[in-house]
Amino acid sequence: MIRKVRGLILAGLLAGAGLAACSPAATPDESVGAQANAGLSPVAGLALTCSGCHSSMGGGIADISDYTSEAIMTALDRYRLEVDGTTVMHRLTRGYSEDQLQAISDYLGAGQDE
Amino acid sequence: MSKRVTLSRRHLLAGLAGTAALPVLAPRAIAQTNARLVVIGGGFGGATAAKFLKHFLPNTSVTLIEPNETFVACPFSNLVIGGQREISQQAFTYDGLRALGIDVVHQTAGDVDVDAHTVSLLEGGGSVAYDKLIMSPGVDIRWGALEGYDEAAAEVMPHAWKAGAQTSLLRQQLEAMEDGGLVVMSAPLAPFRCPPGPYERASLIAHYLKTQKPASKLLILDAKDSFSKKPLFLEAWAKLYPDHLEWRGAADFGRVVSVDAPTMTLSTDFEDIAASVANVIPPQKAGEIAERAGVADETGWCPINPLDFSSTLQPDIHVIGDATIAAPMPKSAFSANLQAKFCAMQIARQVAGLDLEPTVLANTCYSYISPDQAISITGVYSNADGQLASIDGAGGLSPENADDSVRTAEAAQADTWFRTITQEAFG
Ligand SMILES: Cc1cc2nc3c(=O)[nH]c(=O)nc-3n(C[C@H](O)[C@H](O)[C@H](O)COP(=O)(O)OP(=O)(O)OC[C@H]3O[C@@H](n4cnc5c(N)ncnc54)[C@H](O)[C@@H]3O)c2cc1C
Repeated sequence: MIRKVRGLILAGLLAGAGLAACSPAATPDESVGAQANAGLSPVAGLALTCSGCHSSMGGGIADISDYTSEAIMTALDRYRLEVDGTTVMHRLTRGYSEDQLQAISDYLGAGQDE
Repeated sequence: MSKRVTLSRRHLLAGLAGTAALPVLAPRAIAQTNARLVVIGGGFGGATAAKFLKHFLPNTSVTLIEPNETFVACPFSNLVIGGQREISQQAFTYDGLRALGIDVVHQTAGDVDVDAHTVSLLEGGGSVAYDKLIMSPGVDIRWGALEGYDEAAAEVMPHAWKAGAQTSLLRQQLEAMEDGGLVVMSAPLAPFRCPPGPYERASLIAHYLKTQKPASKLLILDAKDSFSKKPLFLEAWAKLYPDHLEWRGAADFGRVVSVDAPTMTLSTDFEDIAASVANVIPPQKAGEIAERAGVADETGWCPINPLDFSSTLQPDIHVIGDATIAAPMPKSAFSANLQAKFCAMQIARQVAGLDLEPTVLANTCYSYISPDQAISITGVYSNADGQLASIDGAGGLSPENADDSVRTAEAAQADTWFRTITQEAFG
């Protein structure tokens, strides 16, 4: 259940326009319950950065909304370890521990993993 | 209910306890169902904050106070000045926010009564009450800080550091200039909005001159000797615009000490320079409302606790974006947007009675060096222990002497970034 909800919240964040779809879904009493809390976890905080660039806009930056956790982690690991990489992701991933990257991957990919 | 409130307070204080240097301001306890959340300023920080407050706390009332019905974005406005974009492509409305149930009030916040927890509205009168207030008022010009540069002078020598009429004015002046003219830019000391912005602008003006008015030249007079992405800009300028762009730093008397708009003169300690077109990027401060609310200190900028971007000077007010003292995080739209999301999350955590966890924040700023090539700077920051600190070994610049393909790839990424971030803030 929580996994699904997380996936939903994320799909919303990543799709950009999807925020609209999330808000009306919560009823008053559960709004400070499981759903809100899943979206308020520390890893959700770490992942806030991603949606500033990654969306369904297309063009020069990948839309990662349909990536599995594994696909995301594979990409992040490659960025982190590639010494002569030239993209912003190479420089950004080096600021996170492997555990943090794994947690972000699990979180972002949760909806796609089943 | 009261149990939850106590809990959330205790957790908040526990979260702050690690930050001994910062004053702990007792926050007003708020409950999810009747909290009044107010945001001042509908730019990159404020519009994003309003959306994410509504997202995390769908049952609260969220009010956004912003005077303009259309927001004109600064990022990519240098492409308007360079002739690659229309100013209309920089415009965003608040319809998307309204559709989410955010109450958008097109008024100027006149004052903040921190004791009564109210914001007064300038044009319409009346006031809006808040339990939590997020301020993202951006920057205001320090008129007069550069001798001779006042609001009247800006109509002759545009700053174009707030996008809109000023951007269009500078573009028109460049178009009207006869070939053979001298364009002069003046860049200020840090801190100012968008540290690499003046140099991106210089690149795109130089491109315009090189391709449209080849007998003309751009001179950048700088109050500093170093600036953001300097090695990459110098490399690009030497390669692309050797005959059309000259940069003069402080050590070469680049600092402009006064301007005279009627004669289009910029003066350094060494000489007086007459310009055909002058773009004066003046010293700045946090948007004026910050001073009136008592959240700005003697520097003119707003000190914050980076754990939740709460003001260290006033309770129940959070400040995000350009107005803050958040170095090493730069004053960028990327930073304002991320600070907004994180600040909204921390407020929601407080309402939900959760601990205020620290996080890792980041920034990416692309700059165009020509219409189809860009470079970037990134940073990764910890906000643990009460301060923002760059994480060692991360961040930095695009590689020097890279293939053109690296620069064109970053231009394509910049374009997607702009469309994504404006969608996230206003869509
Ligand atoms: C030429 C240029 C190029 C740039 N390029 C980039 C780039 O490529 N990437 C990047 O990340 N950043 C870039 N920036 C920086 C970016 O524009 C700012 O960092 C960003 O706008 C900061 O967001 P903010 O919310 O703090 O302020 P703003 O976006 O300026 O929003 C402030 C809002 O507050 C409102 N306001 C002010 N006072 C009041 C009041 N009293 N009551 C109600 N509302 C009020 C204003 O009307 C405004 O809408 C650039 C800036 C410039 C000048």
